[in-house]
Amino acid sequence: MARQSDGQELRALVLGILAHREAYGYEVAAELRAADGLDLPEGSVYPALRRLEHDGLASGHWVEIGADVPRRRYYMLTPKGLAEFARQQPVPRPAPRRLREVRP
Amino acid sequence: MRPPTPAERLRSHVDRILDRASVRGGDREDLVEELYGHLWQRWQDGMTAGLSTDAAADAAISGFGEASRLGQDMTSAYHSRLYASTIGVLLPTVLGVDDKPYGYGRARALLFLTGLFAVVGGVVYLNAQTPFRLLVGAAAIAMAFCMTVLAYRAFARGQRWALVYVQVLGIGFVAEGVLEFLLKPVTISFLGIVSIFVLMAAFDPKLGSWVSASRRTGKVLGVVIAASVLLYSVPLAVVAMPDPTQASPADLSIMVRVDCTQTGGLVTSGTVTATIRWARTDFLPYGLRPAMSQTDELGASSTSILAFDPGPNGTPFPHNLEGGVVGTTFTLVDAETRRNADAGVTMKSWSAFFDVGAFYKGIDPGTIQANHTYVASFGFISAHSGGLPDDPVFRIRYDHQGRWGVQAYATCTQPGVGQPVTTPDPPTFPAP
Repeated sequence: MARQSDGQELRALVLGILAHREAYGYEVAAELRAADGLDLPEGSVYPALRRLEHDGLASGHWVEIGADVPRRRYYMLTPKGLAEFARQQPVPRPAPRRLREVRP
Repeated sequence: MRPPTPAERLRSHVDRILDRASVRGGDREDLVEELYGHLWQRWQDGMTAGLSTDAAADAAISGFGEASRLGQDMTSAYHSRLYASTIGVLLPTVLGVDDKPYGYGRARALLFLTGLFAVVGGVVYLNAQTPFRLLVGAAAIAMAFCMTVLAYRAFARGQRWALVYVQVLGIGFVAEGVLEFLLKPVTISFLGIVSIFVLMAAFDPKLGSWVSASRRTGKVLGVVIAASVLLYSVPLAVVAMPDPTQASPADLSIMVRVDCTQTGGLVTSGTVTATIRWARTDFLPYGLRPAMSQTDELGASSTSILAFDPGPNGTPFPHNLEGGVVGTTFTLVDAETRRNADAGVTMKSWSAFFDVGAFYKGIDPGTIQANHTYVASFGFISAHSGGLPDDPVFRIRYDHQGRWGVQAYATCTQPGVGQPVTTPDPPTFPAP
């Protein structure tokens, strides 16, 4: 049960991050890492992202970065995802100050 | 075998995650690129932060998460919760049999056989060892066995050190097998033969790729692996190890005197008397197995031998009495009980009477009692019509299970005191 609860919290946090801007998995993981009280394996964001996409809450698209650099798959919320985010407010997401600190 | 590059290790970790996920086709290809991209960027960031190439790869892999859990989470992202918790768990497990690289089964088989042989062989072999040797040997086998079990489990999880362990173990068994084949008597090492086939696969790049996502084996762990493999040879070495629970030459005193009957200045008969006393005897000289049976043949390695030697060839004494003495009687008496020690001391000899050479008596050291005095008497007469020289030399020697000995020389006029000697001094037994 604890794991299911962790999954729901992570889903809400990822939803909150994508509600503000589109991001790729590494960025999402970095923001989660910077958030207080979160000690999740970085790879766990990908099942969460793919679940959002599978449920129609987010969509992903590939972006070429350059030679010898792997492509990045950026995610953004769909209208259904934004509605879900609005419905869930307030959500347990990282503090805005923290978000600003880690953004480029 | 070329060590995998950091990029190959990252890719291998992605494969391991997705091997445990029930995700196929285009979704899997997308995930491979996406997950690898994450690890790649983390690796680059680690190097930018000052980590070495390998350390940055290690950090990227360890920070990404454990493969099996991520694989399960990924399955649940694509399937219903019921599917993810049932078929999604079982399917990668079943399919995983085919996913195992070439040599996987051989390596695990060697680890299994090593553990099995260690337990069975260790019990059989150590059962016959003296207490201290048993403890040392058992401790070594136990530690080595634990390492083998850990390696068996770790190899299934694709840990690199377990593959290194298999390689070192295989090389060790092959080396031991070659040695056994060259030494007499020639024996064929089963594990040595198995190891040849295992080593053919253990250095294959496919197995290297299987473990490439795990942490590199450092020098310290390498030493631990080598030492743990060497531990399996300890039981063979304990035989030569001094055991404080066993008696030593210092625990045995032998006093010898020769009473001679002379006629016309020549010795015609007499009695050699050895007074023998053990201050301490062996504790469990045959280990945990039942004591040596009385049917043990004289000369067996576990038998101690008391020898009355009327002037053997090669001794630096003035008289060579070989062929000059006929044994008449032999007794071994417990001086405390006045009983013939034959009742309490297991002895066996081929012949109490012969006319050439020495007289030997086998004694089971397990039946000797400490602080008892034993008196051994050897009666003799001269085989020469005129008698023996006036002061013949006798050697009385005790060999303790081929490990150590005490011997004394005595003449009609000069008693002898036992001195420690190097063993073995194999007596030349007469034909039974």
